[in-house]
Amino acid sequence: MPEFTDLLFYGFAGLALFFGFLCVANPLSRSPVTSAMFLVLTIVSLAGLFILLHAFFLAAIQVLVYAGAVMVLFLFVIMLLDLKEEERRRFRRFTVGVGVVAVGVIAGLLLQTVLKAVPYSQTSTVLAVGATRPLGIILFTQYLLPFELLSLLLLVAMVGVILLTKKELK
Amino acid sequence: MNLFDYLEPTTQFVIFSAIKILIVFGVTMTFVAYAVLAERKISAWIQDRVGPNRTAPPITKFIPILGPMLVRLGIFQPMADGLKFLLKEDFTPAYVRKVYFWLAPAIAVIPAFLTFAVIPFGSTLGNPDNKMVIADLNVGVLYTFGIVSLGVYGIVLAGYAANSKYPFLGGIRSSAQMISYEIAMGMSVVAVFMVVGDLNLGAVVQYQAKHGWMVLHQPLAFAIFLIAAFAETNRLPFDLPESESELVGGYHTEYSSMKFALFFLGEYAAMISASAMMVTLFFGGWTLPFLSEPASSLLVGLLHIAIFIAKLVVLLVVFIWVRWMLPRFRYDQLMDLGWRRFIPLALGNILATALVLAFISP
Amino acid sequence: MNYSLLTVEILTALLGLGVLLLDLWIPATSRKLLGIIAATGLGVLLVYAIGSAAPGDGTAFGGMFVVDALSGYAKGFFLVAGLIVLLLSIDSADTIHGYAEYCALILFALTGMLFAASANDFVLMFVALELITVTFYILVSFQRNRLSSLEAGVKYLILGALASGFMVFGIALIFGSANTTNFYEISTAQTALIKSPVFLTGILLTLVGLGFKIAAFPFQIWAPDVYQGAPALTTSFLATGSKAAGFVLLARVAFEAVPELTAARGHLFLGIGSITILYGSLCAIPQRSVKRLMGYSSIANAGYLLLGFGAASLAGGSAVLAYLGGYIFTVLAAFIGIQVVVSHQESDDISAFAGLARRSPWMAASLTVGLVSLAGIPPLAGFFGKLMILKAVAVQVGTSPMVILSLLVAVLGVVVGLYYYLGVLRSVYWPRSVSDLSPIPVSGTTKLALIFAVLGTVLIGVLPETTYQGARQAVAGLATPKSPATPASPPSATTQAAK
Repeated sequence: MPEFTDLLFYGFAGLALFFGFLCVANPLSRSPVTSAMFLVLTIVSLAGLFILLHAFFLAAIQVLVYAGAVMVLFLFVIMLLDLKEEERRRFRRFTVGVGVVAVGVIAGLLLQTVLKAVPYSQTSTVLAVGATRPLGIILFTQYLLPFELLSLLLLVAMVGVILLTKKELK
Repeated sequence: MNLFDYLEPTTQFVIFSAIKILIVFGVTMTFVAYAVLAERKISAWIQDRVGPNRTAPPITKFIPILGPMLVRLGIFQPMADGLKFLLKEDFTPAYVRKVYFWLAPAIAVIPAFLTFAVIPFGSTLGNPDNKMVIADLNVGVLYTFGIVSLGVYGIVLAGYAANSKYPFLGGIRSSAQMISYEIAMGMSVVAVFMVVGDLNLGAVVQYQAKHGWMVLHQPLAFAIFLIAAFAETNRLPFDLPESESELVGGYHTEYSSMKFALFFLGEYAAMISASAMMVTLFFGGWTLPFLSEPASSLLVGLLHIAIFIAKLVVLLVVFIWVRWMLPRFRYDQLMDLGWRRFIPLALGNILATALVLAFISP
Repeated sequence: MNYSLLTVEILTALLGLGVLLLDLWIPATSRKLLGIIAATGLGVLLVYAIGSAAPGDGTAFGGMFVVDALSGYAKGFFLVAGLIVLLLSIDSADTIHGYAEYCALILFALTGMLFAASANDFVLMFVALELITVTFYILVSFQRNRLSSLEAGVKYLILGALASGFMVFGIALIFGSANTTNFYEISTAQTALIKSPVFLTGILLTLVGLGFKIAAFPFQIWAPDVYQGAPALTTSFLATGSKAAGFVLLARVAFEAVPELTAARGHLFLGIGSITILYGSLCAIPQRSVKRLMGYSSIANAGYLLLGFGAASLAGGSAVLAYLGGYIFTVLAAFIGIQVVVSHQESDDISAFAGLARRSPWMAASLTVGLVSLAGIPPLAGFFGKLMILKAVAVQVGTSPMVILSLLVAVLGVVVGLYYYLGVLRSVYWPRSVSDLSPIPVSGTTKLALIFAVLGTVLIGVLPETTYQGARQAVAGLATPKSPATPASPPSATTQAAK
């Protein structure tokens, strides 16, 4: 009998895939708002996978940042734009064909990788790296440089967004 | 208890948790009902009125003295309100987006209740392992913020689902407001956790038991948190999402009956959970300066819970009091306050806290 | 830890922050001052970086950041590219809305390139690349009142985000199979690792991300649209700094982290390189927009550089770096002419260049040097680079039929290149019809930038030995082990968690 955590893994992974599919190719609704809501559910399912990996901090941040902030802004924009065109648009056969081929190639590559991969022999020991304190320590020692560089990246993003959206001051 | 000891630890845990969830849910629902009553009574006093004083179920006739007194206090009013919500016609306008119209009230109310899961509302009860918190998470506060941030969806979707102007504007306003103030709120709390050195809310309470209430260590953080909490719960002076004079009723204009009641419940539950967070973070949780040891007996355990609830009630009264004392902000003032005052202030507070921790006291 | 290794990077970032702040106090009427300050600061940094060259190799941050021959070689070229672009921007100070931010963003992108040159770890590589790419999303859509600029920005953003997604997935697979992201640590275990399919898929997906940066087939789709839509200044930096950063990182991954894999799968580089050359050259023929033409030319050149990787030898690697050095000057020389004409004529059609030789001999000279060098005519830098690469590939003849095929494609590319590069020059010197012969004024700062670029192109072409030696040392340096100077001692996670 598979362990309970295994069941949870398959459950969350299945949900993430299912919601992800509904996000991009929902047969019932072509509304962008519905897609966005399914993306939120995908993100929450992924947070569940993080919890199974004992990465509680990542799981909380995943929900807080992506589901709670980023996606709300997405929804905000979608609603303000009121994308009716998108709902009416129909796919051309060529687009679907190319899409299927592209997905097929990538899926084939990944599938081949997974099938050929040798499972790790080492017994899975729970390193509590997902907890907040060890994560913080690693971020500020081993990964200090990329971490600090990200602050510059965020500054650039902020400057850019303000510049591209603010009204011309004359 | 004897029968209980025979069960496996897991089963025990499940049963205890289930009992705790049921009790917390019940208490919160009662609180919500009576918070509405308190709101009406306090507003009446502030405006020199009497407030609800008529609702009387037939049984009050048989209680001498006490019966009429309770009626005058309006104790039975919430029951009447609840009954009214349940029995009214549940009307779904023809032009709404049905799925979201039905989903939104549920999404609005669930997160408000989920946040109670990590709040330590007491020390222990009976068995020392039996902590008075539903889920003792080591990322407690992040969980709370994550869940609270999901609460926005209820309001945004309600505004979208209604498919009409005013609710939509209300929904948009609310999402912008909640995201903005979530940042200030989160940053104000960072300073608290820097002092404590742990994200677990239980650890925060223990720290305060030893070193005094956090509101004394971090007054600025508390001020920002309190004001941000007003904005997060869409309460006056920041109730722009539903400001009656501009938006009819904001995001719940098109709702009626129990679906409307769920938004109402959600708002008050959010208010209670914000107060509970403040009690835990800044006012020592279930401790009092001379009563900070975890409970050794059942009675002390209950006393701790009572202390927590008493503090909670005081903060709730503050919430209600402020609503009837201050006028509503303009939307640009609200955004200006959030982004250009509170976020820099909170950042400065983090910096100052870090400097103090690094150079003065370890 | 030796923080002095990061001096140039930190000072560049600080210079960017300083320019952002200075904008508060400098009146709007003298915006030019900002550009002059930024360029002067960068000039000083360049002198410092060259002067303090070979401060001794070293690593910082537990082997994540490395200073070696390659990083020194690449940083010099990045700084020069940044300096020339900043000098060139001074003329447009009054027409660019948000000039201070523009200068600052160029400096931040430059910081990303400098870090990319020193990245010895997949994590730092990813972050540095993201810094460059995100900055360019903004720089590309900078003229937001021009629809084509915004369109280019959005295209770059969407495809760039997709490529980053692939890359980060690849890095996750690499970390999962190798248990490290450090290039050196991976190289010590590579013999076993390259048998692991998970690791190979990881490397492949990482190459997708790098392939996007350098516009190699099949990730080249964005290049013409973005090159055409972006402001000419941005395009010049995108075509040099951003592309070169991608190649430097590719060199590090290919020659330091997994040289055995590069040697074993060299024909893959040859194949992709050949297709890239074909695509770029053939699509460039019908173009009328010079910026778009430069986009296709950039794709074709990426193909040549990939052939150098295909050679998978010291000679091949050195040829790539030497080509890259010359290429930066060459492209900048061409873009100085394009930028001036585009900002004066508000068009980048070939007809806008008609009679340039009589309207502005300076610009005509700059454009000529650039395009002639790109076409691969001796004695300029472009010729020397192509020669080196073809030589390195030709040595391998006999190992695989792919080698001969790619050589043929390369020669074909040169022939086609002659046609379309010289097509532009014909319009400059022998126009069919000229409506406007008024002189185009050229400012002193532009002339200064021009002198740098042309001098670089000519010098590398005439005296290739210095560049080639530098490139050779840089590649040879990759093979020497780089153990972290201070053994990385991240506090063990388990003990910390136990507390």
